[in-house]
Amino acid sequence: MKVRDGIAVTALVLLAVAGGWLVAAPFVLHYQPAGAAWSRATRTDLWSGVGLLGLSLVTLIGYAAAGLRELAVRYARPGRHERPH
Amino acid sequence: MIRRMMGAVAAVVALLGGLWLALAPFALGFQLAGDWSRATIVTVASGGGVAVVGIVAFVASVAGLVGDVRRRASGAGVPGVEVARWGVAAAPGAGAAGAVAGNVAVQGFPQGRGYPQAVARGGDEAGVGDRMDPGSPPLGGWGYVRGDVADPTARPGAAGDVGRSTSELADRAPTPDDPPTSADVRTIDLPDLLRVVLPALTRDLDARRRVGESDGEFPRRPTVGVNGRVGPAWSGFLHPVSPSAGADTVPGHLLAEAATMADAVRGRRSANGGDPT
Repeated sequence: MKVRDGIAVTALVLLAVAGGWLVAAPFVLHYQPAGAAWSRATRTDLWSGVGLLGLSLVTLIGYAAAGLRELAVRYARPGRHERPH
Repeated sequence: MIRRMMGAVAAVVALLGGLWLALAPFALGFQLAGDWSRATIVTVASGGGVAVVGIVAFVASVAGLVGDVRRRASGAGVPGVEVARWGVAAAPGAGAAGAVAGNVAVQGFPQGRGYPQAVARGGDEAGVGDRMDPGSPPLGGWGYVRGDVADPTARPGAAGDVGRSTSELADRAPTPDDPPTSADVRTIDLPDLLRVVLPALTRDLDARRRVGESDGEFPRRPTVGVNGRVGPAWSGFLHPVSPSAGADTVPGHLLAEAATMADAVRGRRSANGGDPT
C-alpha cells in the first residue's frame, strides 16, 4: 500500500460521503418539505447521491478484494501455483 | 493492477457525475435566471466537490497504474528478485541475505517445478531440492530478446560472477553475457518480439492436434471431456456421446475412461457400451 493507494482510497471514501450527503441534503436543509411531492431538484440530488454512494462502495470493496488477492499471491509459498501432475 | 484500474474507472465516472450535478439545475430547468435557490447551491457545490475528488482519485490511480506497468516492464515486481534472478545474490556462500533473496527468486518463478528448466544441482541443505536454480537458463535460452545474445546456453550471471560483490560487478565493463538491465528489457524490437511470440502462438493453436505428445501439452493442456472429445471437461455436458468422437486423436484408454465418466454422469451402466436403455 503506497501513498497513492491511500489517496485513492481516501478519495473513494470522500465520494461515498458526498453521495450520502446528496441523499440527505434535501431533507436536512428542508428544501424538500415533508409530505410534499418531490421536486425535480430533490429527485436529481437523491438519485445522483445513490449512484455515487453505490459506485464508491462497490469500488472500495473491489479495491480491498484486489489488494488482498495481491497480498495472497505475493506471499504464497513456493509451489502453490503449480499444476498437479 | 486490477484495483488501480478499478479506481481509475470509478474516478472517471465520479468526475462525470460531479460535472452532471453541477450542470443539472440549469440543464433540467429547475434553476431559472436570478438568485440561486438553496437546492441549486447544494447541488452545484456538491457536484464541484465530487468532480475535484474524482480528478484527484483519477490522478492517483493512474499514477499507481503507471508505476505497476513500469515495475512489470523492468521485472522488479518483488524487491530483491531482480538481483537474485540472475544468480548473483543467490550464489552459494552469499550468506543469509543471499538465501532470502534466493527464496524470493523462487517465488518469482511460480511455474518452477513443472517447467522445462534446469533444476538446482542436487538436493541441497537450503531445501530448494528440485526447484529450478534461480540463475539457470530455461531450455532454449533466456526469454528476453536481444539481438546480440545468440548463445542459448549463455548464463547471464556467469560462473565467474559468483562470489563477487554487486559493486564489483557494477564496476567492470559490460559484456554481452551480462543480464539485461531494465532499459534493455523495455527496448524490444518488433521483429524480435514477433520471432518469439508467433511460434508460441502457433504451438498454442496446434495443441489440440498434438494431444498426447509431450510438447502438445504446452502452453495449454488439452483435457478429455466426459464425452471423449478433446476440450474442457464440461464440454461433455454440451455434446452427446459418440463412440467415434475423438477416436482419431484421443488415445484409446482415455476414450474408455471418458465413456465411463459420461455413463456415470448420465446415470447409466457402462456394461452395455454406453447405449441408453
